[in-house]
Amino acid sequence: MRNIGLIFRREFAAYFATPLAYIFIVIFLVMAGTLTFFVGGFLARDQADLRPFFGFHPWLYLFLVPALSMRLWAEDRRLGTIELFLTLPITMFEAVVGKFLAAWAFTGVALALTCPLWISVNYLGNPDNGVILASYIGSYLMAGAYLAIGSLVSATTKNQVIAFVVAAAVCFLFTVAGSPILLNYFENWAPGGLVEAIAKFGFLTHFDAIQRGVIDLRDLIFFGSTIVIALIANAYVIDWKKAE
Amino acid sequence: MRALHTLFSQSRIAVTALALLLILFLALNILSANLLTSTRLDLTEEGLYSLSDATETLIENIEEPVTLKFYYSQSLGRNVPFYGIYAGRVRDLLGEYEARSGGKIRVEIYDPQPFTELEDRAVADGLQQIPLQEGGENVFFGIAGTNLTDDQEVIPFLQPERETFLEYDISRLIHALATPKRTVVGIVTSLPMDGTVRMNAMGQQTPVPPYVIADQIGATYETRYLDADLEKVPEDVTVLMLAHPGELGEKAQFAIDQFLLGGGKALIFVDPYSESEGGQAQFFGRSAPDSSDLPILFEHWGVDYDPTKVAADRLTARKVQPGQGRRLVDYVAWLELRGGNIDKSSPITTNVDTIAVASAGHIALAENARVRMTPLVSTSLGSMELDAEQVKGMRTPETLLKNYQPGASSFVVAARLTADALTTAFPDGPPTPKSAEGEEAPSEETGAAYKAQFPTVLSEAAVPLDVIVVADSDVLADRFWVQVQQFFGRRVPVPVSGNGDFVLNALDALSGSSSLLGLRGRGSTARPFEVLDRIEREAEKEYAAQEERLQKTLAETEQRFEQLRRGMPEGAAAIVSDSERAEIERYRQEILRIRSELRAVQRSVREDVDRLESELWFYNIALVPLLVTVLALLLALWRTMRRRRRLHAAAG
Repeated sequence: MRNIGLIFRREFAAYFATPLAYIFIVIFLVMAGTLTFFVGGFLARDQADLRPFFGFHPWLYLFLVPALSMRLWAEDRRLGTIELFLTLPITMFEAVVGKFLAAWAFTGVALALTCPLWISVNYLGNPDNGVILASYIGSYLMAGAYLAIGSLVSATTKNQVIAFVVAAAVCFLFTVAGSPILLNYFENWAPGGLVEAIAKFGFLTHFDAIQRGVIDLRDLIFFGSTIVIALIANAYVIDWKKAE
Repeated sequence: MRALHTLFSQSRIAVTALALLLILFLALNILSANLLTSTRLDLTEEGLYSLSDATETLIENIEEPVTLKFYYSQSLGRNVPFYGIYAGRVRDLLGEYEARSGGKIRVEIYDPQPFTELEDRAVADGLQQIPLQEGGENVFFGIAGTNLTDDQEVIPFLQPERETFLEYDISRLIHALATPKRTVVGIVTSLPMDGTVRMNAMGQQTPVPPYVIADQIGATYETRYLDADLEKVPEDVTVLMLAHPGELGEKAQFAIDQFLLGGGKALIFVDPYSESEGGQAQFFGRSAPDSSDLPILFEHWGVDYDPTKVAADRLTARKVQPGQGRRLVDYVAWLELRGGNIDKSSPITTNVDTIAVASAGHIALAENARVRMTPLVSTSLGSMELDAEQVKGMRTPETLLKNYQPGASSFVVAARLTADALTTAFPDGPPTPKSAEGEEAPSEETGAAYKAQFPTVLSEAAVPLDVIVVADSDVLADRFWVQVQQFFGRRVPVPVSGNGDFVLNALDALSGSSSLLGLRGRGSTARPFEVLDRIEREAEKEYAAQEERLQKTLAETEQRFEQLRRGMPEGAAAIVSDSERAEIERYRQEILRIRSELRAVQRSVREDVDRLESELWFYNIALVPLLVTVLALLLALWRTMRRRRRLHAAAG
């Protein structure tokens, strides 16, 4: 546990030592704000809620989170620092979790910096803050799931660009699993039970459910298991690649 | 070779391990989705997705068992996953009802496949079948409920748009099944609410169907139409609905007085001018009165209502076309009340977005009134009063609009009146029967028989007074709030205003079906930006007088200009003197100046809102990114300087 903390602190501080962190935060905030106001029609809707804001989160994460996760392991593998990592007296799982938590905490900072929107909506009207809190929790969990997948993909390659593209593609599949985009493709030949099962693995499906203001245990299990299983696989992949 | 072998076997182990992890992930989620139900944290303000106290009370009070048959075609969810998710939620909620009812509610779930007996049963139970594709298989998604006496209530199709009202819809269904004895609503009206027969242009009698609202009331309550000359309200009546009863006589008002003092409730619609009937008053033998009133009771309660005055409101006026091919204009006597005009805190109006009224009156409390008034529906600030005569007969929307003088206040169109203790408006007991015009004076015997109906005259209220007064009866008329479409011979009402909900909510509130009412109020989704509305309204108020003055000056100047121009001989530019030309030019300039000033005033109304919007854009899109950028630059600068210092120190 102490080792996870150590890795977390080192990695988290490292984000702010490079321009990457600031660029990520600025792009996330500007895009989230612009989409909310100009595409989501935040003011024109005349409704004191943050639906247009959260509605864009899956799509924003789809591009920004792989950009963040691509360097998690790919860079270490390219530079060979991964060997250095492995000489430290820590387990592979601790290293994976520490790095993941640092990246997740960093997305948390970016998400927290959207608070002016929450202040604005409370100033303008009388929103249901419970729904907003649930949406923030849902968004943060979803970001964690994207990150864990991105981290796993990053561990499989030395090339950051490949890590980005593959992670974005895998995340896209998870995002749309519950929506007609993917299901229409399956329903023509796959048995109904399978289609329904696939639908249960969509990020959009689970995030939409949380956005109503209700945090269901099943949604928590979904995002939680995505994170945990991806991280275990992540540790396993690094261990495996080490042997190559 | 050995190394290769080791690597190969390691890869195999790794792939197997990863595959196992994937299976674990899939299994965990499929199991949790199917086995876990309803373990959730509801963070919504009103606890929208948890069973409310109102429902729990309802479930506790169920007397006889209710069976709910949930018909859901799995193929619907497979084709449109959205429905699959919603169906899961319906199933969970029904399960929760069942679990908490202690066996009083039984839930059965069916998946009707095409061409099966189950499909026929679903149709027989009143469910609506929807074709998945054109000509494709039919799917079902609804609930049919039955009780021991084979009464049936149905939700033919569960619309996802009503998700926030799901609990209300199910509870209403259970309520109807669990309380087979329906509340009786007594209706006194001069309107053809229950349908009528009219003469058409050919002199033939044609049937006119009942009001949609009467159908809707009839679906929940037992309705009983009472005579306008009623002497006594029947004892089983719980709520009395006076729907434009005309000016009720003393006897009827005494009957109402005694009914209310005895704990009865009333929903009263009075109107200075009934558009529905006043204009076309020949329905079968009797003509409906233009206006209605309850003079004795209103005076006793301390309610000011003038049956000759109509409330006009420019801000909520409906647009009408005064004649063929003419421009739409605001008709200030027909109002579409919405937003701030409707009290959102009252459960009666909380989920009602618009209420359409036509030449409505208004009510207020007199000094020393005996009742309290909670306004439910009001006109906007700056409303004015018109004489009812002005809106009768030939309508002149343009004239009314031109002569519109904004007043200082808003008018209450509908309100709930309450009083903890109320005395009778007839302290001397039952009124002595008087002879109607042209009739013989009633004999003493008749008088005695009438009074004998009241062995005990209530002089004080047994329970607090609870009455809802609406100063318009056109809210009930179909043509103001609902479009009725014909669908394979069935009347399908499509509401365009919330009048129906408002009236049903009012009846629910009065009849004590408050458990349902508490639910109806839940899930109101409208949360407008009050600040923007307020700024806009204030700006409008600030500039209204200025705009009005400019409009007036502009009209006058244009008129003078036109007079001057007309007074001149045509095509006689040469004869026009220099001074006249200068005069024309002066007017022209004046008109241009007023127009630009008017535009500026109209722009000013938006200015404050625009300014706030720009500020919001800045705070929400640019401010934090700017701060982050500045912070990053400062940090970078600090780091560079520190590095230089170190280099210096090292070099030195």
